[in-house]
Amino acid sequence: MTGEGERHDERALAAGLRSAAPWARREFFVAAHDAVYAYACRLTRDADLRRDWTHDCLLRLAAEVAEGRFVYRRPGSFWAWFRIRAPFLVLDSLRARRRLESREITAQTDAEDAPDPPSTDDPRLDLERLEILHAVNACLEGLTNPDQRRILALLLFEEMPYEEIAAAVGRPLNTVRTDIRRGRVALRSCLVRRLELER
Amino acid sequence: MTSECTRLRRLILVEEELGAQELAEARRHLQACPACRALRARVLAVEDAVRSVAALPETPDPLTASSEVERVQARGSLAALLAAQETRPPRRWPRTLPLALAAIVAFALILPTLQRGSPVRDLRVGSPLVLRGDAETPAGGTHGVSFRLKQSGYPVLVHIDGDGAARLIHPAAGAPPALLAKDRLVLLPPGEEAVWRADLAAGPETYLLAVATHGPPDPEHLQALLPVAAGSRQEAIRAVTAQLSEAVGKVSRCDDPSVD
Repeated sequence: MTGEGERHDERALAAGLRSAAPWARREFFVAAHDAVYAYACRLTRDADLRRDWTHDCLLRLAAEVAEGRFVYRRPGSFWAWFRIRAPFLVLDSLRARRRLESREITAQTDAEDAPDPPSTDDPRLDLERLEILHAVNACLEGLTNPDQRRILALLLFEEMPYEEIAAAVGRPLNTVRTDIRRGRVALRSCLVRRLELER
Repeated sequence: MTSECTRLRRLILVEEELGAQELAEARRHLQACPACRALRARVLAVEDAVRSVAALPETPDPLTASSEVERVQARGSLAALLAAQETRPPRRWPRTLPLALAAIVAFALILPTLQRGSPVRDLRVGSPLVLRGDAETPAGGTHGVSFRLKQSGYPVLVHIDGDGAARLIHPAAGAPPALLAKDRLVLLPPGEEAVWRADLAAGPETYLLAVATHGPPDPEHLQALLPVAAGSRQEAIRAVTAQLSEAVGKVSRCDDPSVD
């Protein structure tokens, strides 16, 4: 992230975003933009889509902080949250785009005239996988405890050991273990329901 | 899946966290039950798929691997985003009273072109249930609107009844404003018709929709914008539109198609 930590410290930045202060939004956008844009570049060659997805992602992140969905605990936690959360939001835009285009293709009466489905630089990101990611995202969002959400995200996406997670979120190891156990049941039960895994 | 499976499913779903005794019980059951084995395998496969979404790397220059064209495009993208932030923030009602009055006059002139440049598309009025395509629902009254946003934002929806009484129906009282994604079909208000349609005056109904894109609007502030007594229905529509335009942004109007 360019500019990270150059002006206000992370805690002040998070507090500024929490109150939707214009300086904080601007500073956040400047610091975070290129990382998100580079990620969008991996997913599409369309410059308009890259820009739209990047803007959507950054605006949604700023709004999430303003809504109190990020809680600052220790140095590094804001940008760690950003690095985990941003790809999900960009992929959500890609998913919405894929679904829209697949509906348009389905609606074509003459299959010969149907446009090619959108492609990305990452062949693993088929629609099914994007649906899975969307379901995981929705299930994580559904966890009412924000700490549980962050702890599970660190476990799932960064594959952090419990001790490192405890250090990252500034909570005792046993509390983290309890949160993981409870969160795992809630998350996996939600996935079973959403993705109809029990068929 | 048997009732025994249901009891043990909780253990199966958190096998990684179990103590020796519970782990042995879960494993015995997994060995004996193909359905639970398959379920656990599917859950783990889902999590494997999720791990392919790496977190953004921590790097001082994320565009290192990008071409010069991409760098130029990135600079343009950031400039556009920052420029959009420079537009004036919503102002408080008392300081903008003169402007609001002027806006009321201006609104009468621009009313026919309101839909042009609107932040929403596919704006329609109808019963949310009918709009959802629920065939079992009788196509009765006009109980809401559907639309898609041109960019993500917080929709603000005001309803004006036959007597010109204005009600803020979204964001709902006590609920935080909802950030909605671009291009998704939105149906408002979400349920609870009985609450917001209570005591409506008979006659034509109008919905006014604006979208806040620079952050969540303050529901109390929005509520304060609504006129207590506007005189007539048309005056109420003009007054609310002017207020919403000033406080939130461009307003789209949607009338009950059976009247006016």
